[in-house]
Amino acid sequence: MTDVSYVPGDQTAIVGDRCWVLIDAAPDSAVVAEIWPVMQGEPELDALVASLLRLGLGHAPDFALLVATDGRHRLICRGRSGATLTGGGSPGRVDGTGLSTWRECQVDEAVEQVVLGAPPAGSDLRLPASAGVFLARGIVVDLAPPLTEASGPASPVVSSPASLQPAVLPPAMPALATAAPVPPPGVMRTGPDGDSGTTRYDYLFGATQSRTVEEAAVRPADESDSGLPFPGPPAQEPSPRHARPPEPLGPPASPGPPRLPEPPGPPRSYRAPEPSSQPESYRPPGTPGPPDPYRPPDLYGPSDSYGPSDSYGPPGLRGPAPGGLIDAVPWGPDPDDPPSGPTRVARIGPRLERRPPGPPRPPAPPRPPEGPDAADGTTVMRGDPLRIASGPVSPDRIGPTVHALLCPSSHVNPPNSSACRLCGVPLPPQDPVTVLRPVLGVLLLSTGDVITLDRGVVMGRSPRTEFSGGERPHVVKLPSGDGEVSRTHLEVSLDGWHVLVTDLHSTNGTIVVLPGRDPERLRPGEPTPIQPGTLVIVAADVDFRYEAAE
Amino acid sequence: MIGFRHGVATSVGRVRQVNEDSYLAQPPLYAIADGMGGHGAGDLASALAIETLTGCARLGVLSVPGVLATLDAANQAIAGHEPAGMGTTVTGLASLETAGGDHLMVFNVGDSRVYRVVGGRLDQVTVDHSVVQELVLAGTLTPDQARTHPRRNVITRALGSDRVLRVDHWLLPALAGDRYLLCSDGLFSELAEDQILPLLTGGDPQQAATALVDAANDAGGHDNITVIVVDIDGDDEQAADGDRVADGDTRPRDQLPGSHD
Repeated sequence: MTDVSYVPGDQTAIVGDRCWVLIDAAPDSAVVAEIWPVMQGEPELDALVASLLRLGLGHAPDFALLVATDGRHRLICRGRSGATLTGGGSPGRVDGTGLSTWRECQVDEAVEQVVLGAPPAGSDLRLPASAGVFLARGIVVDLAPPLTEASGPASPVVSSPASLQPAVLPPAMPALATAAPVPPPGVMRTGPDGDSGTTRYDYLFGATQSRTVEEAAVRPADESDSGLPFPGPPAQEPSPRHARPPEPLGPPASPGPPRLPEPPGPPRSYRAPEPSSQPESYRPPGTPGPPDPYRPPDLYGPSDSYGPSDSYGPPGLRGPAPGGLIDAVPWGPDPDDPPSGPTRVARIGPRLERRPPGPPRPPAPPRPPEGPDAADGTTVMRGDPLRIASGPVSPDRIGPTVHALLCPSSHVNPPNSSACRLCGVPLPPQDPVTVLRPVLGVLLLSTGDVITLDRGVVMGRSPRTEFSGGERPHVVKLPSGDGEVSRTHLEVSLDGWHVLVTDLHSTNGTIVVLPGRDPERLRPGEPTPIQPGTLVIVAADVDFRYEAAE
Repeated sequence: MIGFRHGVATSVGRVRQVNEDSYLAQPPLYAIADGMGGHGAGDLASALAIETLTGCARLGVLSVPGVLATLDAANQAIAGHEPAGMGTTVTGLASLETAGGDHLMVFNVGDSRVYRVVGGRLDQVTVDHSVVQELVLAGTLTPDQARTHPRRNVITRALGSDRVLRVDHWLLPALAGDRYLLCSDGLFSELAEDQILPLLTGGDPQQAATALVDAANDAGGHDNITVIVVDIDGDDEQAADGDRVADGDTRPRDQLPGSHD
């Protein structure tokens, strides 16, 4: 039996018969309404977590969840919500601070009391609670007398020396797992096939569909095994532009010990150690190594990897479920954002931002920070790692953007174009899209070199190279032209879709020859638009032509 | 002609189990790749990138289109390699001749960085492709706040994650006497720029690289740390092209023989 009381406060306590949740959300919020029916009867851990994370990891509230399932208690804490355990073993505090997912642990039998929420103070008002929803800042669950069913030999966890099992993170978040304490061998509950006892919930997000899940976490490396179509070319087929197909990687070139700097010397390259050299903390003793060195141990194998000792979740919910829940994947296209043809993305450099019809608008402001993703500094990618295979995603905002019209070949064009600047095809009626500014052309130098106009260019005989603020241009050192070229002679700048050239008060000036026009001397310091085909003369034998090649 | 001297240091750091950074220090090409993906995917991705760039470096003569095509090849190689979903940053420095003179091409995808020491201060050439960089550009964060922001590790571009890769690159004249720093985020997330600068400018490139990695480890070593320090050498500063007037005044055209301007 359990005695439950609560400490009044401004969060929401949801008390059930075998399940207790303190959630940092209003009592009338949708998440509370959703989890209440799930908590009735025999609560399923999977379903509880799915309810709590219905908004996706990026927006889910902090919560502390204690659930009695199959004779044991499991505790899941997300964010600052946590739990304080007292009684036998080594009591302590558990919370999800610093993790972008949550912390999950098994509560040792010897634990007598679990307080969900703020650590209890002696002076706190405590009121008895039966099933219901309360405004609270803490739930006190007295577990004594201990549950009797839990001590069977089939439950290796009872041998745990600590009151808590070390944090168990879903393997969907390997990056975070590195920050969690690593259990000594033998402590983790181990299925016959090497299942580490951790549980994957990420497939549950399919129903709620949120890309922010991926924003917060690293996807398991071989999740594509779950049947996700990857409409790209065959995995091993080298690209036609592949200068040199990747060779099978041999043993590490120099996997040397940490903190040992390489001596100075001749050219060398370093390769990080092979994955097989990873510590095998999560591989139970005796488990044979994975057959494929790049395939991690069966931490996230197929659905049958849930061993019989795994006690939660009906069979239908284990692993990628047949139908229903797995229909959508977190990294799939947003259901509110129907994909346009994948070729639109594949064929053009910048990624597209879909825009509703109407006047052009500036790019969306950056999103505010969403969570302590950097708990251990692991680099993760924003958005879905498989966006190669998915539809348009939000544009990366580093670099100037422009509004553009697309030709049937997905070339981007200025909004006032009637025909494609690259292929000449008439542009169909359409609303402009916002894209990162494409390369606006090239400068063909009289030296035979090509400068790409992906940014502006400052040129001169010995041009200044210091820039602060704004976008750093290319800096190109020109031949001296027998001394005619000034140190910092001119600048080619990009403004939206326009290419402008400015003489930077050079000694001898700059001459432009627009197509079909007479040569003109630039007024010093005055940006002048130039068209494709324009010749810019810097000195008698130093010039360049602007062309609109991409 | 210019030449290069370099020093390299890398460390797994004090927290991680695996060094997912890879690097290439083979003039005329220097690069650092910081892999991501976990469970062996990160170091594989960075190794694939460096592997591909090594082939490019062996060609000896580099060009902007050549380096970009190589990075594109690396992108395809990583995207097409199992396990899916891995990626890597890559940043680097390539020496090439353009416009009849020695230039450097700095390139970047992700949040590793290239700095140049200029006028006794640190000039960050690359712009991170990261969420916090976007917040900095939007004025929401200062660069110093970005360094410790919880989402500083979330990047917005990587090799292996976009079918069409967009590489930032910058051309710079190769000036004798310049020193460049290439580093993974394990360095600058531990050390502020005013901590980096004195270590970077003290000693030869190898001493500087070692000192920087040691300092980042002393500061916590929460991530893999890789540093390449490159010095640009020349017979005589600014005289690389043998142009006697390179540093002198520009000659007005009407003083030039045969000028009719």
